Amino acid sequence: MMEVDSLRAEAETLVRQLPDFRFESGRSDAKHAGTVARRKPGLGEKFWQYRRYTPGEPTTRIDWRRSASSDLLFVRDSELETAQSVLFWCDSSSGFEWSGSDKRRTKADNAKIIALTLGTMFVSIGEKVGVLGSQRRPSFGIRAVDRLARELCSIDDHDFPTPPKTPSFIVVISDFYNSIDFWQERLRNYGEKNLNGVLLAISDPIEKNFPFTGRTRFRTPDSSSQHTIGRAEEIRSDYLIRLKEHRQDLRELASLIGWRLVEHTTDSKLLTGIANLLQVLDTRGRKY
Amino acid sequence: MSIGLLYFGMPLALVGLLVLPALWWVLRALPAPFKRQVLPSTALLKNIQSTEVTPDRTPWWIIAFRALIMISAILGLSQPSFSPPEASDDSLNNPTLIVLDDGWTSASQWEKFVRAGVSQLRRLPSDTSVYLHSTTTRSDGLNPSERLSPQEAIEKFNNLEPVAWLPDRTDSINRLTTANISPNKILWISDGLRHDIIGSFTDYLLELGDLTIYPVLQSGVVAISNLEVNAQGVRATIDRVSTKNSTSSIVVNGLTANGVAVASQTVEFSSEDVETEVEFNIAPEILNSITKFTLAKTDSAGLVWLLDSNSVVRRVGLISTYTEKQPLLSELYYIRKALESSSVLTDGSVQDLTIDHPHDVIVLADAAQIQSNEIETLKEWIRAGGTLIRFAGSRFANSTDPNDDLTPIPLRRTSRSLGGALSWATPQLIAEFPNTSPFFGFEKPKNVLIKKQILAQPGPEVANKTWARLEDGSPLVTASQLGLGKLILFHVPATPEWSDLPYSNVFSDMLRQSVSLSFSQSLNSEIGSDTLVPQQILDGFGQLRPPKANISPLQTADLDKIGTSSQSHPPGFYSSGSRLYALNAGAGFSSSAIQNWPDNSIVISNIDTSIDLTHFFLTLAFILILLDILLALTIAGKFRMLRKAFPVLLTCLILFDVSGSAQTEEELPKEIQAALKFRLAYIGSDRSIDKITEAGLLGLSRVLYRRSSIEPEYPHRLNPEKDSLELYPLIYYAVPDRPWPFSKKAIDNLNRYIASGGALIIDTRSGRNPNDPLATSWQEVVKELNIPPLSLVPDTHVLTKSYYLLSTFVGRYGDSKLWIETSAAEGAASGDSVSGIFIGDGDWAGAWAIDQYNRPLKSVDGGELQREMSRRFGVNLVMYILTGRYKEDQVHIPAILERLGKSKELRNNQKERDE
Repeated sequence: MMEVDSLRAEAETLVRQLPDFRFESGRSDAKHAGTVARRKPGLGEKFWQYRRYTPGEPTTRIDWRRSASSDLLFVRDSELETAQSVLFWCDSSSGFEWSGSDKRRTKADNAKIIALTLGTMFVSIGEKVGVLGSQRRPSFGIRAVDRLARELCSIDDHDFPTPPKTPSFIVVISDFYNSIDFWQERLRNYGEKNLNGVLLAISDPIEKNFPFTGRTRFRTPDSSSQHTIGRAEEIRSDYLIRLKEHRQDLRELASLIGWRLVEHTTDSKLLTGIANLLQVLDTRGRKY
Repeated sequence: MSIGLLYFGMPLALVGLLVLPALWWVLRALPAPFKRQVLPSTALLKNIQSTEVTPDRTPWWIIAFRALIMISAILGLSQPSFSPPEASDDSLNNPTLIVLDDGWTSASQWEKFVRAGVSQLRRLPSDTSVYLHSTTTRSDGLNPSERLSPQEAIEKFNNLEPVAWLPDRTDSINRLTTANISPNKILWISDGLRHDIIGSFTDYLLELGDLTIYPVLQSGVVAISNLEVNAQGVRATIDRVSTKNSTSSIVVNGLTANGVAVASQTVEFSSEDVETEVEFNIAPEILNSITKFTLAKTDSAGLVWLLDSNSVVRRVGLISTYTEKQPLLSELYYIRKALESSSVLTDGSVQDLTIDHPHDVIVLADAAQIQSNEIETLKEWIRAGGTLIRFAGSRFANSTDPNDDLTPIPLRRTSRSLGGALSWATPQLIAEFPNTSPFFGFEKPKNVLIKKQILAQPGPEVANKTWARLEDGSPLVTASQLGLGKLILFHVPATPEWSDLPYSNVFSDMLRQSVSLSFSQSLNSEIGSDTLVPQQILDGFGQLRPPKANISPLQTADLDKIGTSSQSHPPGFYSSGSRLYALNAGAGFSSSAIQNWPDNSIVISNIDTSIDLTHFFLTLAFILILLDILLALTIAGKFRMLRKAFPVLLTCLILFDVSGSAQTEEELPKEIQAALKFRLAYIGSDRSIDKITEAGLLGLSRVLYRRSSIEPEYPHRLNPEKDSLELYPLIYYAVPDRPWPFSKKAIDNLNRYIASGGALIIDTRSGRNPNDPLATSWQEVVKELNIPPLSLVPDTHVLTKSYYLLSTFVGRYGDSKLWIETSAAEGAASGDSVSGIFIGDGDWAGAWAIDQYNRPLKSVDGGELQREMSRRFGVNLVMYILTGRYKEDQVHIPAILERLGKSKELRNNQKERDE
């Protein structure tokens, strides 16, 4: 596991390597990707309604153009818009804190760097970032990234947090090797709350390729389950089909609640992973 | 079975070689050891299983290596031996006769006999005719006329066991003659002893064929050839056959039926001795429990001497008289005093003592009244072997019963008074005992006067039947044989009324001798014949076995003729009713070694030239297995792990090695420990006893630590032979259930320890059951210790107040007694003496014993209160031993207290006055 500072440094480097990524231009339709319309009058940029002028209101608020079309005085209300928070959740199980080779970063470290990179970018365009289920509320500014980095490293894996009350965009990063039912159970509430989000599945190349041969006893890093295979090379295709099916199920689960699944392998470049993720975010933005 | 020059003792094991091809297949079929892999996505593998299992890929050379292990193990188990070819041409079919001495003299080296025979037989071509002949006469043995192949002969040899009697060479010649065989070669495996004949036997064998003699036993045959039980104890005669002049020492033990050695003596043979004697001083009670005497290393019937009823302490019945109010005037009092140390005494009626529980000896005092029908009962009992000792007296003299002929000789039914007012004669002294009398040899008492006696009717047989007479020739003790039994009459009562005899030592000697003559004499007498049925039989190795069916009973009349044991009468126990008769293998053994072998025979000293390869192959297999383990570890890549474990292993090995040889090195620290810190100590015996004693002393140490300024360290276990006893202020000895006598060295050390101011506490642990025969056996163990006169601890002794005020010295048993040296018990008058020896039966260590959590280990009679009392006793004891009579000073305390009280009184008076 990497130190918080080195995670930050890595993330900063990555952010700098993304100069061409014009986040702003990507959300041309929705002018403020980070904000969300609250479907009620308030401070905002979009027109919401005309209403009758009530005496005592500042006269500067009267929309003269509309009022001129009738005898009555109208006030133009805009729709309330508030900044959106982006909440990250990163798996901290021992299976996730694992790397198939000493030369590669663990999956969890990959996840944290990606989360921090995204967090930095979001903060730079004025979004709030935070950790899902954290006591602290999402916040702005450069200090928010520091806080994000610290909190990402201290996530308790056992309790998957309940959905936040404020509307947020949620990024869940894990390897998702638990059964589909398990994840369905975890994510069900999020679907009900109509929250938006993305699942980032990070896997090690060993898990994807299954390069084992001979009589092998497999176990999870925490030894919670183990399985002996008489001849590993024989079941490789079975395993790969299983993995594919599992990912497909996961993808269906995500789309069921309106989310998207992004995959990333630790031997591919982090930039690629982040780019994939941002592409999805853009797509999502285009919906509005 | 032999293949070439290899001989296999267990050829069946070679079948195991057939399994070798299977090894290849088995190793191929075994699954490879699995690799361990970490995979977070293991859950995805659920329910996936491969249809095949990767087989182990063992390199061929490993399989070959393991096959080599198997081969050497199988070869080792088949007991191979390599016999170099013999120089002479054995290819010819030379009929061979093997003559074997298989008496008990061969038993102790029987292995050699068998090995010699077998190795000779192995070398013979398989078509040789072999005849086997044993020099002892035995029905289950070897028939010289039977023609055997070498293989059959080897089997016979291996199954043969020595017999418990001696070879009979004369009979051997007869049997060989009857067999009518003509061997070319003869091998005589001899025990090297002469036995009945020798010259004619070797001559006979030389006539038969080429004689080769292999004398197995060169020296040192030992036998217990005689053993006498007398009033003082036991005298054993040990014989040996020695061709060399050598000294040797042998330990002879007396064993009870459970195998407890209650007597032990070392026999020394000086260089010239062929025979030596050893004496045991054994108390009759102990002697009674001994069933046999053996040498410490018993492997031959001749080294076992069985004790029968003749050497058993007699059970003496006393016919009850009416209750006596004045014990010193009671006849039975004197009789009891005379006999109680050597015999078991019981009171009872005639009916009790003769029919219900037949006793060996009955004493009929003058005061006892017997009915005329009881006279018949008594006679029957005497005829069956009982001994009646009768005392005359005033009642006897005045008896008018005409049927009472229970006397050895006819008597005048009046008493003769000597030295009375109306008599001229003076009281008479006892004359020298006649040499026909069993009392012959007793010292003539100088001052025993007989004032009154019953006279015999003069007759020719009176002189023969008189065992003791007065100086004037009139009989004092007469005796006669009646059936198998005896009738002995003392012509005086057993009270001092008529004579001084009951006061004197000779009285008890006479009574004891009379008692000890009972039965043994009658058994050997020619009157009547009794059938003795074999009970337990000794085998050649000196072990008691149930008798075989073919052993015929002994007739008592034949006992003299039989003398030594034979096939029909093997040594062992024979019984008739309750009597036990022992026939001993070594009885009368005296056979000398054969000094000169015949010139025209070949005498060889080592016959077994074959090399036993069993150990070689088994060791090889073992080494290879170790190598294989290393190999397997290396291949599996576990060697790195092993390298980590190596220092630990090495340490273990070193420790193991050190503990094996550190006996002498540990002594030093132990002594230093003992010298630096005070600690209690005990003499080690049984493991179980040691455990309790150690726990007990530890418990006492803890109590001392808590309650007093004595702060003992952990108790030490001592070996009185080796350890420095002088470093320990007190030594505790809990007598084990089966005490083994201390060695001479241990006794010397202990004596020196006590004499130089040590304190030895002997705890017999018998408080609960003082009648237990083993309760006295400890006395044997410490017999050699210089134990001064002992007495019970007086009530006012320092021990009762050296720390706590105590009135009793309870241990686990409530009524325990404690004996200390009389000189220390008598009080301050005897100076500064502190008792060096404490003997008691309370099992104190048991009461003190605690476990590691300070919980008591054993129950105590009186519960926790008594346990506390026994702990207090322990504190007092240690205080007494450490501080001596110091606390005796406290005798002044009453005076001081009184003075204090007085001053108080004075003050009180003052106060009253003031008021």
